[in-house]
Amino acid sequence: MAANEEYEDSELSFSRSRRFKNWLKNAFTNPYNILVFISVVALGILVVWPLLQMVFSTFQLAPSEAKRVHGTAGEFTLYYWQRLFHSQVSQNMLYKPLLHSLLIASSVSVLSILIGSLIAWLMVRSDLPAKGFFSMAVIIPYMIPSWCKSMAWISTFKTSRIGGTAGLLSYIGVTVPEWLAYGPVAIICVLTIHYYAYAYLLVSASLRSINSELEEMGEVIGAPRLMMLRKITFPLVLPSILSAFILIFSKSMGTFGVPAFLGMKVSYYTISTMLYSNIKQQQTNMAYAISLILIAIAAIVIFINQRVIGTRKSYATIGGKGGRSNVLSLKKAKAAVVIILTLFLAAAVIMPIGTLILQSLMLKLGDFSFENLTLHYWIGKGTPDIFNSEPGVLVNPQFYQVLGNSLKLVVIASLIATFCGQMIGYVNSRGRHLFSGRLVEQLVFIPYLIPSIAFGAMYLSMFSKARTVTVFGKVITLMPSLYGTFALLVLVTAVKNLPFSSRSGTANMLQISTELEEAAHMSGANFLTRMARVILPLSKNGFMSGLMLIFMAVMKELDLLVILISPKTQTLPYMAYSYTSGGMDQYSNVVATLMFLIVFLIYWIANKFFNADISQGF
Amino acid sequence: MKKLLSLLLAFCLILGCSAVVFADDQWAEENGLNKTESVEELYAAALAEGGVVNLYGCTGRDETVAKSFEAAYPGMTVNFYDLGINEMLEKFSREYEAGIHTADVLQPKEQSGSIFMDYIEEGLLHNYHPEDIFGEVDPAYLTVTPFVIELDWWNYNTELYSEMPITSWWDLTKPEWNGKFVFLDPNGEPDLIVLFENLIKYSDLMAADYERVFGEPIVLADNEPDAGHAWINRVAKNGVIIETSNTNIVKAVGGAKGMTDAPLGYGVSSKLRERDQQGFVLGVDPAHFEDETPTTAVSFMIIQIADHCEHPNGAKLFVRWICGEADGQGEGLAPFITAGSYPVFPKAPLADVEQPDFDSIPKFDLDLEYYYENYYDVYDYWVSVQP
Repeated sequence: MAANEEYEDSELSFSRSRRFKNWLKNAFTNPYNILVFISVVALGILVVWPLLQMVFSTFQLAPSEAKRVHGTAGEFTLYYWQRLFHSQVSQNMLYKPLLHSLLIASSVSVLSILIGSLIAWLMVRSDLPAKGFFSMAVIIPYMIPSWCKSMAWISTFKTSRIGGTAGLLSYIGVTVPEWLAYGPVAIICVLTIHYYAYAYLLVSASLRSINSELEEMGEVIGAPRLMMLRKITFPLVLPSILSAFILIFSKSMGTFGVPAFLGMKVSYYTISTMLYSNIKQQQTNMAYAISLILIAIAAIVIFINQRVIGTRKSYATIGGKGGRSNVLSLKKAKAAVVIILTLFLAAAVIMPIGTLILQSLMLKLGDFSFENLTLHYWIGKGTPDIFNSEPGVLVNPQFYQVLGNSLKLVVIASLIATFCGQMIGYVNSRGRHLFSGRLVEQLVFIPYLIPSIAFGAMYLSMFSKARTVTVFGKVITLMPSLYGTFALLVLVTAVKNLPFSSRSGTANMLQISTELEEAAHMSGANFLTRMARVILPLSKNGFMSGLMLIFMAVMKELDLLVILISPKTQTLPYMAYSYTSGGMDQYSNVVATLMFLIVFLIYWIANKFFNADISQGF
Repeated sequence: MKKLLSLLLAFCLILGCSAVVFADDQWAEENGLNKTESVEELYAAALAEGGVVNLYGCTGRDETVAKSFEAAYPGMTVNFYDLGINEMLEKFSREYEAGIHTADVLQPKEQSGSIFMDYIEEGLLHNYHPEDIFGEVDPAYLTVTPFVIELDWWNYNTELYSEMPITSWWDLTKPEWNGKFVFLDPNGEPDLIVLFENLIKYSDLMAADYERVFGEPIVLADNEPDAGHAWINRVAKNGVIIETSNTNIVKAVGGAKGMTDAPLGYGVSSKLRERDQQGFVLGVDPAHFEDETPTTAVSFMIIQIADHCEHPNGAKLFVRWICGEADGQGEGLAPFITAGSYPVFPKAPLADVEQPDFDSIPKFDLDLEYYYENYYDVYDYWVSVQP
């Protein structure tokens, strides 16, 4: 308000037109505005439009329902919303699953953040031994597809009542209660093991960038260690914790595989499994309506988050002067911490991968004898009596072609998504108190909440034809036809992953003090130079974390792409899926194992570079 | 802001209203889908139109068919898109609306009447019934273009039971079967909904059978309009285990040797092939129920030609191939001739394994329109009573 009044006062000394001209000039040249403009237009086309189409569909009678309710296809209807909120199915289709989802999402977020932040703190701020090993191992559970973890969970805990053979524990005589094998507890455990990596990555990137001078200051004035943690470290990493919360909360709200695998058998439905049920029943408009409810919930979560961060100061922790971080000693607890961490990782890493590899080596599934082990599905030449002479994956030329496709898609899409994510993160962080910044933040989050299969279908429709307008006799292509092209796969993958890349981008940019940018500005650096010479180099830490995060997600992506893929643009998950659909589970397991190895290898390489950079940079 | 929104809205509407291609039978006629041409004619015409067939299929076995097709007709290429049925129909209808005609042939499964009513009746997909192949096929089947019949039936573990342990639908509502049977999630696949629809349709037989089993007439609860609904409601409350795929059902029933507590499982008949291919301990006996209520509904693997497709002759040649040609002996049908799959063609061979005789299986009357009309009412009922 005060600033406004000042403005009013000074109005007399300037001519209106000149003021307007300055305002205009500033509006058009201010890089923040330009970025906002680009983001809003791009997100409008790529995100808002599909969303609006979804909203419209829920008020429009689909042809198949038209026959049923004796209406005309395309006419306005409240049928879907009424069915969802107030009909004989509402209780079991909406309210109960929603409650389940909220329970799961909040438990998973809290547990993941506890575990993830604790490990992050141990890794960055303590004198934990073998950090190199642990920092690698800690991220592996995220590289393993979640269905693989569910499979391992079941083969360990399953009871003989459901699913036939007893699990490992029942086998050695331990009575496993059913609530542990299936249902909410199982879902929460598996999802936590899957998602804590988000919290770990975001919080550790943030911890790493904290200038330890801040803590040293606390030490100088004699604050006890716990108080320093509470009053200095915790508030500094709070933005990244909240980022992680939003990510994990909505990921677990929207995830389908694990709740389907561990919940459906005991009829424990969540909002996402209900959503997929509707899609499978070809009740697409109902599915859209359920998605919109998911979107509304996420919007509320983001709104609350903005309130929390908004009322606090945001902290710029990457200042002009660097300092070396001091680590804190774990003292006597060291041995215990190492043991607990190792056990946790063994359960989360070795079991699922072991199950996967074992099942790729079994000539016939379900036969655990030693003679049944074979490398046929890896390197076999193919014999007519085993799945029509299908060769082992490693000697199948098609595998290498598919691998090439996958890598091309993953590298391009994750680079684009991460770069755009950093740019949007810049807008979000610099525009935290502006409507424009908040608008972009809200918009960019939508793609995650649209179910993958629906998102893919919408992109198929959107880009099936070139959209053109004729202005003064000139034909202008608004949108090219991307049907069947590789570019469409890249585009849809990049947009779908923007929520995550921009989250980590925001967490990242929030920590880069504006004064660094201002200093560069004053010494005459233009926006591009500032970006290239100041912002991006400083954010490379978070950039790499973000890139790896997206990379791993994209590598496993199937639902989103399945209806856009053509035989020539197949990816690895699609190949694994095809094998499963043909009943060739072992081949599918080989592909999944190889997928994991590739992700692991690439992460390992990135991590090596990443570490080298840290030691030089700060 | 309001202005902006309304502008956006208008923009969306304009772009949303792309030109709709109206499907017509004229196209089908012009492209000879009502004719019976010789293989040689079709092969030559298929090569002339580019030698390509784009196939959207729902099972890995389609790839085997595609390979043998390419080998039998040099110069022909099949691009096989391996999709789930739902993804296939979604992809196809979106492309069709946009005027893109990638798919030439679609190979989905018809269970609930939705492909017949929403695609074939609407002219998006066409039937192709060459006389020399379909002349002797049961005319009741020819609302679609089927090549193999699959059913759903109860599987039991042959190590635990010497014969099918239940003799009535109502046995499953008894306490001794609580928590000991598994079926496919009615929220996901149409199999169970179609079964429920039939049990409701046959409510009178169900009511009579109840009296036979329990010795007294059925007393219906408030939310049970008839005996069929009552069965659904009571089974839902008797600890049913839900599975998400047919593979998991046969695994649960007899996926390994030495199982001690295996449930009964209602799943698709074609999975009986796991008994022969993977050594599962599975037994079936669909004619074992003591009353006259049927135990299974007929569903079809179908092969349909897409309206306005770019390679109609290649498509026709492929349909002939997957149907096993005029004598039903062709290599294209072979991957589908396994235990529990019954070709619709009288001349085609059956799998040389132990399996129930098709005519002895008590089947519900095939009524795709009835399935289609009542599908969502029954689905809603299930959702409202599900455990």
